[in-house]
Amino acid sequence: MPILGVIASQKTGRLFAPSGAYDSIASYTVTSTDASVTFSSIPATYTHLQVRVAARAGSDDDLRFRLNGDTGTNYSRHLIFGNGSTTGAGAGVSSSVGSVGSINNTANVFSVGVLDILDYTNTNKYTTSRSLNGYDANGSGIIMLYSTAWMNTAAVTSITLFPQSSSFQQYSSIALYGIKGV
Amino acid sequence: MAAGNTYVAIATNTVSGSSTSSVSFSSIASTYTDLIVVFSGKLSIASESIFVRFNSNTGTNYSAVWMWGNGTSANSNTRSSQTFLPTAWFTGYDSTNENNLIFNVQNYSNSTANKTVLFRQNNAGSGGTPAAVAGVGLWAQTSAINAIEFYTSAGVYTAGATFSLYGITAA
Repeated sequence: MPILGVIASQKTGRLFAPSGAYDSIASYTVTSTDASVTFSSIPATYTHLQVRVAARAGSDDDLRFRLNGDTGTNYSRHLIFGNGSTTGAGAGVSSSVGSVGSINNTANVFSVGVLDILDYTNTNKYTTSRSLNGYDANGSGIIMLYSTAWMNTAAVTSITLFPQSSSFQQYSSIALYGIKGV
Repeated sequence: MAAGNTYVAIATNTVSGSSTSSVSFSSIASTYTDLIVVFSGKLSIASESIFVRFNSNTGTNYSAVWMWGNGTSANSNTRSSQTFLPTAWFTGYDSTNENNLIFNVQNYSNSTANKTVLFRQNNAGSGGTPAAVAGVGLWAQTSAINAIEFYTSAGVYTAGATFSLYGITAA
């Protein structure tokens, strides 16, 4: 269960040095398997965060996230999806996880996703995220658009991503970026 | 190594004249983690589509699934074993109003996995098929991507259409 932060970045020789409007904060590539990946000690110097994922799981699974390690039933979500033949929508309330979308197990096929966590340091409101995610396995696949609300007013300082029931597989990569406002 | 500003403009192609049906980015450096291409423009024929190829590969290595809403209904479609990656299937792009396409290619330079892309496309016109589209596609090749072609299934891009290529680098 890698927990990545400034220190982890320094160990790889890639120092965090914010200087632009869209900065890379940290990234991680799975070398074997990992149950989860955590970005911790996220600086409060940005306006928005973006997590970019290209990953496989040990089984066809849901890709979830938690903020600040909160395991309470403080998350709600809505989604729309298309699987090539039908579309659908769903929702979940009082959940203990937020959602990025779907993650698959097909050999050599990686799910991809972009998770935007907006206004993550604002302590006057709940934190809302948006994710576009999916995979295609040449004959099967899904595209999903998720919204998740974290019903907590704390500033986000850590993000943990994990397959709901399995683990990240080798070559899965997850990167965290910070986006500045003016 | 300081990561610095990691969202970099690599190149922009602006369509001129009235005969351009294909726009390509070639010799793409492998120094980034993800690529993003942003298209803004119109096609000469309504209810058209934009197809994508990587590295000039014309094999049946492409597939995609996508969903869209057109103001009255939500739909989903898929194509497998194609010679191109569709960002819609002969629908979704407009000839009267501007279309936008944001095309994400993640981990494009790795040589260990097939490439998966995310795309969003939209227009708000009334001359073609007004739609908001989101999709995911697969190029079933492990080669690093060094060239991307965007071509129309029929018709041409109208003058002034732009394709901008960006690179994102992870720390």
